Amino acid sequence: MTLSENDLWLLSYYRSSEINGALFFGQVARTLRGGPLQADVTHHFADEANHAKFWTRCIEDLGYSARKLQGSYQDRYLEAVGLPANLMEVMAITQVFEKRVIGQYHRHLRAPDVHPRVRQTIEKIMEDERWHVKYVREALEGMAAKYGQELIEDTLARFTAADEEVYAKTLAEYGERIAFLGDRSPDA
Amino acid sequence: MRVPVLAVWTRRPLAVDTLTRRERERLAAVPPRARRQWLISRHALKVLLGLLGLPPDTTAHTFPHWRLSLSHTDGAAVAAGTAMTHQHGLGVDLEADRTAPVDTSRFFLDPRERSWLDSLPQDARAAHRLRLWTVKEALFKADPLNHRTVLPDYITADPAARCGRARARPHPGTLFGYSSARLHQGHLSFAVAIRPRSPVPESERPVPALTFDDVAQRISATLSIPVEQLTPGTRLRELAADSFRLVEMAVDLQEEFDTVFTQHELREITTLGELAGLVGVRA
Repeated sequence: MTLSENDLWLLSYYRSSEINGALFFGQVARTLRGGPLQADVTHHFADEANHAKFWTRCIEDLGYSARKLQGSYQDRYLEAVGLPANLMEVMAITQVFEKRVIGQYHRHLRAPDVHPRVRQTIEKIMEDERWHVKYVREALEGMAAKYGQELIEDTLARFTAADEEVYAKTLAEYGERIAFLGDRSPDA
Repeated sequence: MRVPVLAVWTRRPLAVDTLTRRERERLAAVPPRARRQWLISRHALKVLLGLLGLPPDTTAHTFPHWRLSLSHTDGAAVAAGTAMTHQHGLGVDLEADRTAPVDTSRFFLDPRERSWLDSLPQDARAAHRLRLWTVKEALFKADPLNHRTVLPDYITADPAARCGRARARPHPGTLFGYSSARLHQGHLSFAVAIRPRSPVPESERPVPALTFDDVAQRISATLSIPVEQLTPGTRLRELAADSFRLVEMAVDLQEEFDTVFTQHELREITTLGELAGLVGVRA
């Protein structure tokens, strides 16, 4: 199967986003003190770097080289939500973002004629993504006593709204490249 | 045990055009008739902070302070500080010569000290009474547990000694040392409180006031910036080219000092002094 220009762009975009995810979680991991959350975020940081490696290999296996892309979804999202002010906001940003990643990969898997190598890569990544959402959700639950459940829920709602806006803008901007994914409405 | 104390004495007010924004705000809140004295005190303190290598914005330091003390009288001021870390508190007191009514002694001297004072020739009593007053004031300022004491609670081992030991009756485990001297028609005394050998019960331990210095040390460690470069006026955007480093710093401060910032609060501030205020450093 030959990758179209749009296919190559999208897989490269995934790779670029995973690299930026690794950079983000590397910074978060450096911020945290010792404890279970530090271990989980460091694991997460390694996962994101691995995902970038998976996409690089996937693209190579299909006979191409990944495109160098400067921007990523994370850049737009972080710009929209603003820099996190505290640890709870860091984890809330992560929670919303990981849900977005899972939603996007699910959407890709539902598209027709997904190359088996691409499907294999997404399914492998999804195993990790499910754990990411789980540990972040548990971390946020553990922060309720300090930050208050209401504040956490408000923050998640605020970041979710920002993410949906960014996703809609991204689809509008790159619509032609990802038309094969079908419905352009935000996916969760 | 010796605790070297560095002191700066001055009669000159600090030039207003050298004040930081926060210092100008503080000055504006001082009644006009007290502003010259305030500027003299700040002059002494600012010079001392420079000598000790501490952030020079005087509003970043609040009193009582475990390593700094400030006193002023009649157009003069003394700031005292130490680089040592094993003392529990530091106090300084400066008083210009004046004649105090004899019956004030009972408000700050214990019976044994009054008895010694009464044994002196009549013309020597006023000077020693004033000296002992400065000693007691310095001891009081040095005592981190002084919220429950009054001046007569501090008892000198030998009231005749210009340099000696003292104790506080309510917490005899704390060791005090003091030294007093004549200075420009006045008396100047310093006192230090040394950490007690048997720990003070947790319930009686005062929570040390958080200072800008504490916050600066933490930021210095997180961002690998020499602490000397961190002042209350340092702008946050100058600290790191990568804005996430600032997030790292903010999260670390919140973890270290058990506080929570909001995005709104962080958006409103631009300087380290303001950030220290968020952490809990009193301006």
